[in-house]
Amino acid sequence: MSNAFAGVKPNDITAAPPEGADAAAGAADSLHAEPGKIANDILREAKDAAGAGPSFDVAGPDHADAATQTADAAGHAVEAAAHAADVIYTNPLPHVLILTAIVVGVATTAVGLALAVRVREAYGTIEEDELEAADHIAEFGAPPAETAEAGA
Amino acid sequence: MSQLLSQVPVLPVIMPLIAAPLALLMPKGRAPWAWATLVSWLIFAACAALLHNVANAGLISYHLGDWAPPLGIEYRIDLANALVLFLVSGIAAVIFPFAYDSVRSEIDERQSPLFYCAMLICIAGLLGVTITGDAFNVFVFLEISSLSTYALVAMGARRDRRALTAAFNYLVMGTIGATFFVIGIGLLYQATGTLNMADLHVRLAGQENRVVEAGFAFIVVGIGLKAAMLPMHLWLPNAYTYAPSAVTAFIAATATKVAIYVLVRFFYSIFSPDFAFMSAAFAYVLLPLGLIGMVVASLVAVFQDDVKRMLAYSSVAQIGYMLLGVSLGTKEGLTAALVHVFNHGLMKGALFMSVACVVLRLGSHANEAFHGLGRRMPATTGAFILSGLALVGAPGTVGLISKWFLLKAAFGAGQWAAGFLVVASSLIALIYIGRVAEMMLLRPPPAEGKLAGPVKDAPLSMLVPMWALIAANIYFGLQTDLTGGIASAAADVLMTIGGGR
Repeated sequence: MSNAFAGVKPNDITAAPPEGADAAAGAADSLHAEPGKIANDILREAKDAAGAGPSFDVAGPDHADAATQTADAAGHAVEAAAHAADVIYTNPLPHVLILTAIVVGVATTAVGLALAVRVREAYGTIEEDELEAADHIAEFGAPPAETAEAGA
Repeated sequence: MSQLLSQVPVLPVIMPLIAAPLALLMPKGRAPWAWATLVSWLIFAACAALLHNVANAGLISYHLGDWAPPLGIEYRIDLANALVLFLVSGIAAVIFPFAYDSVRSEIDERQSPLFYCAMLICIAGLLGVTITGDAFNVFVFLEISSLSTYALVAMGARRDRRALTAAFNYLVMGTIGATFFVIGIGLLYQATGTLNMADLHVRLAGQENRVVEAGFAFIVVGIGLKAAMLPMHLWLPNAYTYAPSAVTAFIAATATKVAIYVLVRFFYSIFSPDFAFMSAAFAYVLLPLGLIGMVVASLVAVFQDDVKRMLAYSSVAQIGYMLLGVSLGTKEGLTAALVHVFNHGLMKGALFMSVACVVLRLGSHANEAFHGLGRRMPATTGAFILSGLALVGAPGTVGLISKWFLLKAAFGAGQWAAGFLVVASSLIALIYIGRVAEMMLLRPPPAEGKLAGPVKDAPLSMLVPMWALIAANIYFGLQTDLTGGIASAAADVLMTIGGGR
């Protein structure tokens, strides 16, 4: 590895040539600006931008000696940039959201089933009609039909 | 020490969440209660410190696990949620000392560790909903609090088995509400690619498309179910009536208020009143529903033969007041809604606590149990009448402050009819509270049957917290700087973020 890479992390997209770096930075920004866009597309763009850069000068303004590097070093730079862009990220958030919703769903079902068991213990039935009739008796002292007749 | 102080924003959520399983491990009896009481006081101290800090130094943003927003979860505390945090933790700090005798008589002793565990989880959920600045986090905490509330309501089955069917109904409707809410969040995420509230607000600006509209509608219906907005209130009366008394006092004073706070947060901090569909929703959905709720639920409350159920319907009516304030879309309306969230928590908590005292001594909350109560349990009767007067809006209590702010906002926004309906609904409240007051003061105690016989007043362990809450009712009725000032400053902040009128 040549000293052109001093201080540059292997995975850093900004190791791409200046023009490419700008484009890549723009693409990275668009992760926010264009929320509909899939992250992979954006990264592919970043890769294209990195590849399309006319100059392979990896040096920042503060690396004066890097400007004199051989084409070999430039080749390394392209390789590194391409490698960086090959790392494909998926957005984990939708998975996390769905997993959380599943966990909540399971917990709710558990509570609901536990309640159904308790209802069965207390009423001896889980038929909705019979439950309503029993509650009706508790409230008005007579089954629904009788109170309706008494009212009529 | 300063390290610890910078962690204060996370304490109200972390403390009950850790304390809850510990309560479960304790032996039955006094230990879990003492532990839960201690924790609730610590939470209250943390929330009071947060309110103090926010009032003096402005917005607090706490990054959970040091992950920067918008990717990480952010706890974002401004005056609006500091006020609600203060209310919820304050009510908890009063209810826990109060609960011991009431719970001992209503719940199987073996279940007491479970009971206090569920109460602490419920508090963690409610405080989490209030404190968080992440839309999905709201859903998670909402479900944490709701699931524990279902279990708590079902614990009333020892006294009346109808608590089970009530809890099941609540579970089904609450889950539908939560599902709608999470669908709404999903749509917003699709439209913006973010879940952080502040970030959502920035990205949503100018996006007025079907996805955002649908997301908004799902969220309003979902939270409306949790808040018991009028046509979606059917779970509330039974759940409040059959839940153990201490649970009713706690959730009636906090759970629906937190849901209203979530509505406010979504309306003003995520969407903004600039959206055309927002003003349509305000004018054609929320305002009419709020007004109908105020009048209809109050009227229904008049004809109940059970005091606890009457108060439950009255809660639905009070939600109408808050919706009215929110849907006016003005700074004054928002102030009124926030003030009423706080004040209604205080008065409904005190009312349900006095009912809990009656249930402890007489084993019933039917109207007959209140006959002649003035001579049998004078301290409890006094508490009920004072907090009832606050509900009606008598001068010198928090009720008047709420009504004053609300009327000022309604007339200020040109909604004359709404203003008159507020007054009409208050008069109906006078009827249903007056009806119970008449039973307590003027009728003779039942001469025969289960409810006859000598009755002592409630024990001091219940009277002291209850009267402390009533003192708060009167203190905040006379000293309006705190609630009115904070609520108006909070509304100012929300309006500035929301970019409204």
